[in-house]
Amino acid sequence: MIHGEAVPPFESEFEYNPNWGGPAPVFWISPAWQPNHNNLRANTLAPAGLPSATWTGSTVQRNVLTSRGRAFTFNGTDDALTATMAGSGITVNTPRTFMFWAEKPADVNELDGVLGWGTGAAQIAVVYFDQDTYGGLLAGQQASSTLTAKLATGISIADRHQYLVVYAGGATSPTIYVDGRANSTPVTASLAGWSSSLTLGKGFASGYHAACRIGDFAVWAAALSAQQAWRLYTSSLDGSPGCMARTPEPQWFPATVAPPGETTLQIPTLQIVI
Amino acid sequence: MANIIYNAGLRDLFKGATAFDTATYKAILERSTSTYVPDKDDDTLLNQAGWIEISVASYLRQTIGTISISEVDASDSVKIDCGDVEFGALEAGQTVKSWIVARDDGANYVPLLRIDTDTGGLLPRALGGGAFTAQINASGLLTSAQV
Repeated sequence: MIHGEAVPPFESEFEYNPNWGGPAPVFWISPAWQPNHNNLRANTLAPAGLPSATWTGSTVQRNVLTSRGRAFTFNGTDDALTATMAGSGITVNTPRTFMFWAEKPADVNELDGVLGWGTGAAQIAVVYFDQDTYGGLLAGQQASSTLTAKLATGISIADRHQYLVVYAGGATSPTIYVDGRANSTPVTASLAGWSSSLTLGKGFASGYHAACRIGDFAVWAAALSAQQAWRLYTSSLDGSPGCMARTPEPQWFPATVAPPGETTLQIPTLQIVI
Repeated sequence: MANIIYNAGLRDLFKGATAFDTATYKAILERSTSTYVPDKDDDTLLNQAGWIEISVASYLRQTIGTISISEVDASDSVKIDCGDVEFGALEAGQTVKSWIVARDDGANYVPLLRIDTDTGGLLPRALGGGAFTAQINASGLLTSAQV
């Protein structure tokens, strides 16, 4: 399904702009694609097809529509959404980037899992929200209980943010971006592992659910650069579609902010008078 | 200060082997710690008192390319143009004071023009580790017209 076919109000509250100017993701799921909250479905840009997503837990939340659009809404108790990222091309320790928009108004559990790969003992990588200890977000490996990276500067995870977890491959620590800017402290350089089984709203098992709202979720089989991270984030400012175009939050997204580190001098024309 | 065209550079612009579309002209970034006081009468650049150039690891003087010189009948002028100048990603830690175009004479360079006031008001500009580009105005780098 083409994302642009989503018609308001069946839009994602937190939206990825496919016209952002960079490479296409290998996996992409949006709550805008299936407005029926009882019939959630995942989509993929991979050639392998269109696998289904399965919801477990509450029957009253799921894909909630608000005045700003739709979002996967998790109760922090038993809700989770699972899907298979078939045909991604990602292997055990190859580069990858995960992007998701989210907000988590309540810090319910000690570690609130936003997403994870694999199941049970095979769980190999997770990303958690944790306001108290890690300032908002951390990435790690569940199977070995290895924390690989955390935020360098704390943020309010109750607010909407775009998160990127960029893994360059091999035994390295991922870099975490929040709203287009690197905000990350490496902890342990570690192999990442991989499973095509994706879980949203739960990092590991019972007790690791997150009470949160998640919008578009996308995966790239490459480590996006700092410039691409910024472009990906700002593409929602004036992109169409783009959640910020509908619900501007100038305190987060000042249009005049220059991309980090980039400069374009505008050279005026000088005149030679004869 | 203000943006200036140097007399020696203007002379070279119109002379055979040193003409803008014949000789090698390069874009140079002056560092904020430079105490060089520009003067239109300067015949050279690199040996001027107080001159300091950007020196981060990835910085290189960039050759001016895609040069064109054309008459513009609509405005009775001559447009002297070139392509945007891309310095690539420059490491953070230094600040750009001005953008200079000078002829590479194999010695101390002959300055043509110095821009310390860009249209966007970015100068002086701290390097941030990302791409640094000088975007040439659509009207050209220079125009020449009778008044």
